Amino acid sequence: MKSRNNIPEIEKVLSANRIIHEPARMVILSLLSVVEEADFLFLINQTGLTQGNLSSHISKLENAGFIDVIKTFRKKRPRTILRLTTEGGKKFRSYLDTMQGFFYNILTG
Amino acid sequence: MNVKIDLKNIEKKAFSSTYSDGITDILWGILLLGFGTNAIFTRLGIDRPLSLILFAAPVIVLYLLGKKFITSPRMGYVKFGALRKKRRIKVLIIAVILQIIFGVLFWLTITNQVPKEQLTRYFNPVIEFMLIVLSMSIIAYWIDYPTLYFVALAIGLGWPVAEFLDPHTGSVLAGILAFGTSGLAIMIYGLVRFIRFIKLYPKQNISADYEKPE
Repeated sequence: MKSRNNIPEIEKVLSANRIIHEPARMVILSLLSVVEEADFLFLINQTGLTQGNLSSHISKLENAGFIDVIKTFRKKRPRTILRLTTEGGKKFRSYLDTMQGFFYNILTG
Repeated sequence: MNVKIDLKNIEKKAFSSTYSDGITDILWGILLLGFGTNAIFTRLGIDRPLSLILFAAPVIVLYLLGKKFITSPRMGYVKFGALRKKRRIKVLIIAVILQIIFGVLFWLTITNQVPKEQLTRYFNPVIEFMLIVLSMSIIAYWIDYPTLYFVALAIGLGWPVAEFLDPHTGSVLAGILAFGTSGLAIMIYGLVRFIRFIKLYPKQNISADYEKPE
């Protein structure tokens, strides 16, 4: 997608990573970027998403290499631990810088 | 205008949510009540250090059990990052230094190694207040636990208030008024938060299928 007047900031936003650029996934990545790891239940509580919804977004993030999903057991009960990958962290930080730059330029002219 | 996307606020709120169960507030409330009622145990002939241990030990056990069996199954598991770890180390250092200072002073007074009058001359209530309130407030700031500011004030004010009331009301009532009232208030606040927490975070049955769809 290309804007008619070739404004670099708009170009960057339009070509933003669509995996990240979705509200629920952005929230999930924001949370995982500030912790070392968290389980499925913690993310449900923090995001307010339903189990199915969260699961679907986690699946997309995992397939795109943003997060690692580690299935373990704790006292015979399954527990899924989620962690941001190094590459995922870099891409997410880059996305945040893009959005920050865009809003900064919009607001300051 | 500065537009800065700062994730620290998200981290802070996520970390603060781990205190939302109210159990830590209840713990501090009961510990303050323990300070306040300590004179009763002394009257019953129980040594002050022993009475404090007998009081604090079951409370701490209940706290750990509450966190394990009530909070964790509802909140889920999270491991915070390097920043939080650094803060914890700083908090631990302050806590250890405080413990050493007050442990030594406490031991000196209860074993009458140094007359109380000499200690109050060199370590008067104002300095005590500042030391307790300042150090606990720093800890409260670093661990993002606002209730600890009130606990700091309660303890900081408690000793001088108890000293002031003692000649007029006797040690039992002085202790209850100085520490018991604030302890009770913090405990009730903790209970309210606990009830709210149980309603907000019911035990969820996380289906194994949902955790990772194939």
